[in-house]
Order: sequence, then structure tokens, then C-alpha cells
Amino acid sequence: MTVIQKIFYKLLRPLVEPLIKKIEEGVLLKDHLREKNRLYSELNLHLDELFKKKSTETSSLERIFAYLRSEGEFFDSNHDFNSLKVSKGILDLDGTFLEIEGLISKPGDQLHSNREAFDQIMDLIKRNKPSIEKPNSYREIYIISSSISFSLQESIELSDLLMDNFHKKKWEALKSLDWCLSFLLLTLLDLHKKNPRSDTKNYLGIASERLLKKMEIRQDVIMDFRGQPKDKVQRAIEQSRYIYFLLEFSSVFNDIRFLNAALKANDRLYGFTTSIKTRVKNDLRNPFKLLFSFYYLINLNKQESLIKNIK
Amino acid sequence: MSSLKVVISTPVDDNLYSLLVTKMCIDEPGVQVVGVFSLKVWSISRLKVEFKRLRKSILSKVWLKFFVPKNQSNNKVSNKIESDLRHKYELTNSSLKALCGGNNINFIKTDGPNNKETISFVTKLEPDIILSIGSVILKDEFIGLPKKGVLNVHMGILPEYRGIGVTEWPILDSDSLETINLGVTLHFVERGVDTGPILLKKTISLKGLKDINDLEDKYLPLMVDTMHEGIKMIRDNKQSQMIQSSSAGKQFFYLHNRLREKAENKLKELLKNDR
Repeated sequence: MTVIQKIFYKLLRPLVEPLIKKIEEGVLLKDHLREKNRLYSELNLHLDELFKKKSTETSSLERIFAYLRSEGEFFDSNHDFNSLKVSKGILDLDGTFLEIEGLISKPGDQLHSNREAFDQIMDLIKRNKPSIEKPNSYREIYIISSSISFSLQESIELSDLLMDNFHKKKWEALKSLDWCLSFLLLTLLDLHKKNPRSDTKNYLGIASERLLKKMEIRQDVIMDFRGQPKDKVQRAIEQSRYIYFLLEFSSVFNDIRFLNAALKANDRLYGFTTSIKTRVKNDLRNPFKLLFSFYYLINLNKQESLIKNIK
Repeated sequence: MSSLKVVISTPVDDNLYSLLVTKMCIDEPGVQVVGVFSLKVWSISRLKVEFKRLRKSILSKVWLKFFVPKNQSNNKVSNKIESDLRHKYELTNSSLKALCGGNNINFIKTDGPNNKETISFVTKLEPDIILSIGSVILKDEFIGLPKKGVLNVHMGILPEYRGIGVTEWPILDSDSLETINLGVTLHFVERGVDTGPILLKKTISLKGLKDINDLEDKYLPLMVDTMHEGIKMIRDNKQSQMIQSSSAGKQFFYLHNRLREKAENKLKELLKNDR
């Protein structure tokens, strides 16, 4: 080592080493917790303003927030993840954000029976062929199928049709993810959870390995999607849906690699999350910012409960 | 009988593993090292590749490599192991350039294994085999250059543990010290990540270790020994290959800090209970 190097080392060390330590540490759990508490407080402060409004949109939001308010224990800003109980609160919250997803996509008339819902989904797939041109179809299918229970036969028919519609070979050759394709994976995983089948498992295995590589190798802060809208928040939501899928997949198939990818992806989104200010007036009517906030909170809770379960 | 012509691909000029493998090949009868190439440290393409691989950790790597005095850096391999290995292989040089210079071996520094300069360098040497050291992605053109293939020692058991972080992932996957599947695998390089035919596998025993930091001392000697054994097998035409099934293993990636911490604590606990 030269004398110049030694001098550089002595001079730079007090500056560089703390910086390296900070960079290597990355985003810490306490950073996420702080953000979680901030988002919750801001969402809470919104409630009063939202209750004053009487538009159709806000009345739906009112129901959601009223519900959330009743989940005080879950959203208590003082508790930390160590004391969090994986309980009804979280499960119900999943249903809540589905409501918001539904609110955004406006899937149409209320459905009266399972059979009717099933026919509607099958019709949606056969007629519209969900694709890059009709990305909302996948969202609608997911929202409808998540809220009803199918018979075994219906579940098989639906998953077969979905897998046929976007063949597994397409996943193997996929260069960029299509906008809203996350809903296809979420629907199939949901169907598999209710009625496990080797075909669905195989399909999800191929698709998830491809997704894992895309997220781990590229490490985009906000991913790009084929056919994406310009809005950055919407892209962050789609990415959050994939994180949600990774966490669910990790839980269902007991594969920590997917939790690992989700942890890193959530950290990458942290900076974006801090820029979401739900209290800013213009943001009040932006359901996308609310939806992103919900995904962030849900993903955070899921990831912490999964980490806690690692032996 | 003609000698087995070997080219060695290394990440940096002073990499201990590269020096040991090169010296081992120089001294091995029936093996002729015809060329060595090392990657330039300061080149745009190298920095791009390293940034893609290391992202934010690149600053730490540059700092440790160029500014931190050797006696103050947290060396991965202990001084004792380094000294033992240098003694075993009678290695006195600290750079490949000097080692090659003293043995009349062609040596160049290049931007990467897949670039034109390297391809032309290797093509002229007509090697039977290339020993790949480091984790640079190799393209088809490079892989197709040697007559018998490109060899690599992977720091994990294949096909189960492909990719990166495979010294920690098996710890998270296991319930006891005995079932932690750690070791190295000698394999031919293919286009996929660690998917090529397997020649040799060697496991690592965790008995007697204090914590995960002690593992490095186990890996380096085993990797050099495995490469040595593999070279002799190929020279003597005694190798048998095991083709990997694409569905047999999983690809792993860098562990998140929190999972790495879990793995470290788990191993510490298992080792403590074993004492």
C-alpha cells in the first residue's frame, strides 16, 4: 500500500465508513414501522373529511374507513410487529382492499349467486380474452372470484381456462410483464388455495420463477410493464400486487426465496412510500394513493408474520 | 501423450483462489497452462457489470479493495489458512502477472471474458479447457471456445442450490446441523445459471465451527482441491458427468439482511447446542 493510499484512508475513513454502514444496512424495519404509523395517522385524519362528503365514491370509501376504524387493534400506531397477532384483522383487511380494487375497476352489477358469478367470469374470459388490450378484465375476474366460493368443477374449469388464455410457455419466454397480469397470478393462487391441483401448482411454479428472476435481477425501484399507464402511482400499485403475490406464494408453498424477494422489493418501494402524502388535498380523491397505502400496509404485515414464522 | 492445454479466467490479478489454481495447474504433470486473463479493475464495462451485480455494495467493495490496509480489512480467509495454502502449493507470488511472467505463460488484462479481445486471445491458444474463476456471466461464444468445456467450482451443492447466497440458504432450509447441505460442486458451464453437467461434489462438515464467519476457511481449500481433482480426472479421461435435470434444483439470490441475520443466528445456535 502506498503512502498516498494510507493518507487517503486516514482522511476519508471517518466519512466513508459510516456512509458504507448506512448503505449496507439499507431500509430497516424501524423505517418501515415509522412509515406504517405515519400512513395510518394520515388515513385516520382523512376519515372526518371523507365523512363530510356525500358523493357515491366517498360513501363507498366511508364504509371502508368505518370498517378500518373498528380494527383499532390492528392499526394501533403504538404497537410493533412483534406483538402483532396474525388474526382476523389481517384476513379481513385483505377483503377491504379488494373492495377498493373493486371500487376502482367498477366491475358492474351486484351478483346474486355463485353460478351467476361463475358464468359472468367465464363469459368475460371467453368473449374478451383478457390481454394487454383489456387489462381490466383480469382485475374483474380476480375481484369477483375472490369474493365467492366455487364448486370443485367450476374451480377446475375456471383455472383451466385462465391457464389456457395465458399459456405457461408465454411465462417462460416473457420479457416484460403485461399490465395487470398480476391479477391472473393472484386469481390462480386463490383458486389453488381453495382447491389444490397439480396443474395449477405447475403453472404457478413456472410463472413465479420467472417473476422471481425479473424482480431479483433487475431490481427496479418501480417496474415497467407492457401497456402501463403513465401514472407512477398505478405502476407502484401493480408492483405491490406482485409483492403481495410473492408473499402469498411464499406462504402457500413454504418457499422463503419469495419472501426474500418481497422483502427487497418492499425496501425498494420505501422511498416512494415516503412521498405518498395522503393528507395533501389533491390526493384526497386519488384512490390510487389510498390503494397503494393499503397494499404497503398489508404487504408489510404479511412479510412480518412470515419472518416471524421462520424457524 | 500430449498435455491438457488450460486457460484460466480470473476476476482480479491478486485473487488468492486464482493464484492457487494457476500454481496448481503449472505444477501438475500433463497439464499446460497456455494463458491467463484477468479483468481490468478500472474499466467502464467492468464497473457496469459490477454495479449490476453489487448495486449499492459497490462502494464498500471499492473502499475495501483500494483504501483499507490489508491488516485492517476483514479478510474473508484467515491468515493461517492463506499461509497453509501458500505453503502447500509453494506459492510465493502475489499477482498473476508475476506468476505468469516467471513461467512464460501468456497473460492479458481485458474488459471481460465475452469481449472480442478475450475471444481472440483464447482462440489463438486453442485450449482443451478453461477454468472459470469468479461469477461473470459467460456467453455462448466464450463457452464454445475450448474443446472440452469451461469448468467452474460453485460454492454450493448442485443441483439443489443454484445461484447466489448458497452458503446461507441451506441453513435456513434445515432443522439440524447434520442436514445443512453445504459444499462445493465442480461442473461444466452452460448458458443457464449453474445448470451444466456435474463432475464432482464435496460436502462441508460444520463440526467444530464457532459461527458463519469460520466457513470461509473451509471453502477455499476445498475449492482448490476440487479443481485439482477435476483437472486430473479430465487429463486422465476418467471423468463421469452427471447431467442436471432442469427441474431438480432452485435458483437462489442474495439474502435480505434480515434473513442473513436469521441464518447466522440459527447456525450459531445449532453449533452452540452441538458443543
